[in-house]
Amino acid sequence: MLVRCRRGRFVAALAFVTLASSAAAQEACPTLFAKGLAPVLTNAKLAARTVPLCFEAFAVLHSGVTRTPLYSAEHLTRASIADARTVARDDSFHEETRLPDAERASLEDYVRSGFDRGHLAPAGDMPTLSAQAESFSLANIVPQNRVLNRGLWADIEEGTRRLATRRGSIFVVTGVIFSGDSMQQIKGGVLVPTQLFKALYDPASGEAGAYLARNDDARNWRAVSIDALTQEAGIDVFPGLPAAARASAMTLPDPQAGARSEGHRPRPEQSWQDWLSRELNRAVRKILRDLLRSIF
Amino acid sequence: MPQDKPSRRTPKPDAFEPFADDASVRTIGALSFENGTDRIALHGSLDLTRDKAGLAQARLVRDTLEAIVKVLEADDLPEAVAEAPDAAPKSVPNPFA
Repeated sequence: MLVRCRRGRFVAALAFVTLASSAAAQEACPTLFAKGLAPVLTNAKLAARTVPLCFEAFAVLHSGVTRTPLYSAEHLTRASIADARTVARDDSFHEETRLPDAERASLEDYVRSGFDRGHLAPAGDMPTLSAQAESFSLANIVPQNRVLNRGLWADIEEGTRRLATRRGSIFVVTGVIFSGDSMQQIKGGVLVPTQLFKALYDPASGEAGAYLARNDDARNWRAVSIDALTQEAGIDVFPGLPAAARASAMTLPDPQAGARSEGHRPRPEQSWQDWLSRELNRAVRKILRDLLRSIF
Repeated sequence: MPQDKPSRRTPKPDAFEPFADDASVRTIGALSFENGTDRIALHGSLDLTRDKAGLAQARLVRDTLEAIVKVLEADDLPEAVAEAPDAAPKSVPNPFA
């Protein structure tokens, strides 16, 4: 019923979309992106009805086609994570009023949908109370499998925070993939992603890589390079990175090595060939870096 | 009298009222209470440390649970709320394929 009403306001919505996207053209928050460059959509179809939105501590690209974000971008630092170790507080999920009605998800779309409201930029990353409140915008939320959201994905998020604390600074792009011929759709036209990814870039070491997990309760994940992720997602998350950093995946923290170790979770398969090629890659990069340093 | 959809009710800022809405979330450490009109989801984890902060957090967990129990006790409860989603997700063609 609600959806039908919205359709009646299609023309008004269209006019608003035009307005919104011209406003969005000015909306830029380069400090949240690696090398100041926002991800690039390599699958041109993803670009339909997208609106970039800046928040205090993250940026999203929202799709009016899926009524979800396609990705969120954050810059985590040792200091921001220390600030994020939060005091208790109350927040609430809310519709993103900067987006037109006909393009955005509503609260009731998710109620009794069978899916969790999964954050792309996690509330637990947010350095201030206002940033945490903003993370509950539905423009930062996707329908996520309950087991994934509360298990493996929560562990990947925590592992990412620990890595940011160890390394000092990490750029993160968290996003969704819609693959296959047909998609699941919940109320209000919200599409359910088939996979989620979390891509990390360490500006100090120059390394990057991404976690990739299916949006189901299998608790499986894969480590992929930025090049491989671009192929799978149709999104180049770190367009400013040199070819070498894109071609091989950095060693990602094992989400199972977290504080919560109960239950069996399968490990990603890794052969000695993977290990050898990773070590070789690392050695070659180091030699190159040292060489460049000695020249300049 | 037509009743407003529960999820449309905007929760009061900074107030977690058990079962009053489908939007509010109380976060204590990394533990969250996600409110709902027919279920409250608890997820995450929390270290209750043997110090003053631990006591404050333990009290807040207790107060939150107490408020939940109070609402449940005052309710005329069914045997069980529906476990299945309102409607199974629809299958639609992938717009990006």
